[in-house]
Amino acid sequence: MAGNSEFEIVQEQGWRRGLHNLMRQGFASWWKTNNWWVQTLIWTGVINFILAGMLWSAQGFNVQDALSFYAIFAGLFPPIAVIIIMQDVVVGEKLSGTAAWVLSKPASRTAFILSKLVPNAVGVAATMVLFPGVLAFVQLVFAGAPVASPLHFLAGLGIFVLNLWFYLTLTLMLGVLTNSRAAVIAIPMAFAFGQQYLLNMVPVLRYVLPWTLSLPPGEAFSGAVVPSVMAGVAPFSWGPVIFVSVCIVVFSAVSLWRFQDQEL
Amino acid sequence: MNETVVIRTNGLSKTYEGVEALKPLDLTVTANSIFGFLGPNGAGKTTTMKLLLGLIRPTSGSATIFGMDSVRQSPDIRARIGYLPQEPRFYEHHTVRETLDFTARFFFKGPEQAIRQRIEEMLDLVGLEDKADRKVKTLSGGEQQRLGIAQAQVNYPDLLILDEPAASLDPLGRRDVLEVLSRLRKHTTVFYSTHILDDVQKVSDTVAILNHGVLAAYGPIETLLAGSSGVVYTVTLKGSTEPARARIAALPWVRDLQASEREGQSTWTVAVSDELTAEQQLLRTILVDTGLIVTSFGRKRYELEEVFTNIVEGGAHGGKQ
Repeated sequence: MAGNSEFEIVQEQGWRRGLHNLMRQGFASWWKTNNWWVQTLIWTGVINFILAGMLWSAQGFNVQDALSFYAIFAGLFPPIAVIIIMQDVVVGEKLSGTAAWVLSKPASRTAFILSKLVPNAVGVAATMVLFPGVLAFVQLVFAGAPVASPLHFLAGLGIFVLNLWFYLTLTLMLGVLTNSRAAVIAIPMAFAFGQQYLLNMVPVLRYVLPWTLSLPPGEAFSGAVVPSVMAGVAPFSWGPVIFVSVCIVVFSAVSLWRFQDQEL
Repeated sequence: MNETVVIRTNGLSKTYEGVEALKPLDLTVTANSIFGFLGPNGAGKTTTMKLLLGLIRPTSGSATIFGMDSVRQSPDIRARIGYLPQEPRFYEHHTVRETLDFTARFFFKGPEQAIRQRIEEMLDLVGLEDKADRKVKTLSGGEQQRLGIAQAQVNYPDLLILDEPAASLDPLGRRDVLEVLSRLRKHTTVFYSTHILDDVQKVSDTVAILNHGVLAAYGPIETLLAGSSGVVYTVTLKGSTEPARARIAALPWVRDLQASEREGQSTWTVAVSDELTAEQQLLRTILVDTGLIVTSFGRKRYELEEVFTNIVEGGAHGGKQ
């Protein structure tokens, strides 16, 4: 290569080729843009504002239900934002040509998908769960909600993160498998909202579907997995946690596998 | 590995859902050449480039670049290539400088000062110094094209693959691109597609014409411009041409003589079978007739546009090397 002797040449090989640069760019798109504080502001504001309304001004509010309410707000709405954020990540790049441009450089396709998966997974976990969760924890503890311990609360937040990653990897996988933006957004949305109908039709699915991570599995208001974990009570089932964890791995693996042969 | 051959394709083809976008293609591109890749829309030019870059997989056949297989060793190949897509699209939240930095870091991890200097050189090369800190989304089409040219060269590639590099540029921008291509010849091989035949004629040394996925003509540009109908002279005359025309047409080394009349002048197109004899005798034989005035005489040189049009419209002109 003419004129390159003064440079230190990138030495990554195999699937790691281009990974460092792509990861750097992926994280920068969260943390060196307005993205991180906008998302943090929205979710910290939305979740904690509603929670504050319940805890501090609602008449006759039973503080024993606070964790269940918190789980509903924090578990139901952020997945929608994740789907919206992720719907254009792969399919948009395939259709616009930026994926072809990036992959005309010495970068592996595995590195490309990982750079979409990891920075976004960290970004949504921090801005939609962790940062709002810290403030929510303070509010809940001060209000006397039955939080077992900071560790239990953190474990609950971890399950929220798994819930978000389920939708994140599902949307990512659909972006790899199809070039239809409509399909990439419609299928996860339909799944997110359709679970309650599925549960009505096939109640046994409450032991599997991510819906019951944050929303009540039956007629009673309480009993969802996350509030139980935060309260230090054994959840009605670990099935939904296992199911979303397996799905995250499967969706990620399918994304990595199928993208290897994608024609750009 | 023969380093003088940069690109070699052997029966490289691509079919999309039963439609043959590229029929088996055999091409050789030698080092330090400027290879013009021509063809109408949908001829298979972009498909060929994407196959070379490993962005799509061949249906049959193979390609080697720098002696490496385009499918199995694609990342190693891409480490030595600069590519400009037909419609360059970059990350919109990046500035011009960040785009070049992002591109450079696929190749170089340091030193920082050298990377920064390379980026400045590229900005200067394409005249985007004053827009270096503007977001990509605010650039015009022509400016994005310039940025595309800059990012393709940021690693001083051994091979530049440019898909329509002069598209969306104004005439001055086009001129600059051609100058850059000419300058790069010393260090780099350039494989580029274009619709602008005038540009190809100015800078290319080898040309391939693709039509409906088939390689219709291929060879050094001089060979293509000379035509496939052998050596042909054009003569423009004034006066009574009939006797001389009959005399010339009867010569044993004259294969064909076509005449046309325009504004009182007669233009002959004389195809000959013996170049040396024709050089020595054709003009003299015409001038034997003292009543004739020869206003021009010379060997016919085709314009690339003429060659291209003949090929694309199904004419016989041109031919594979």
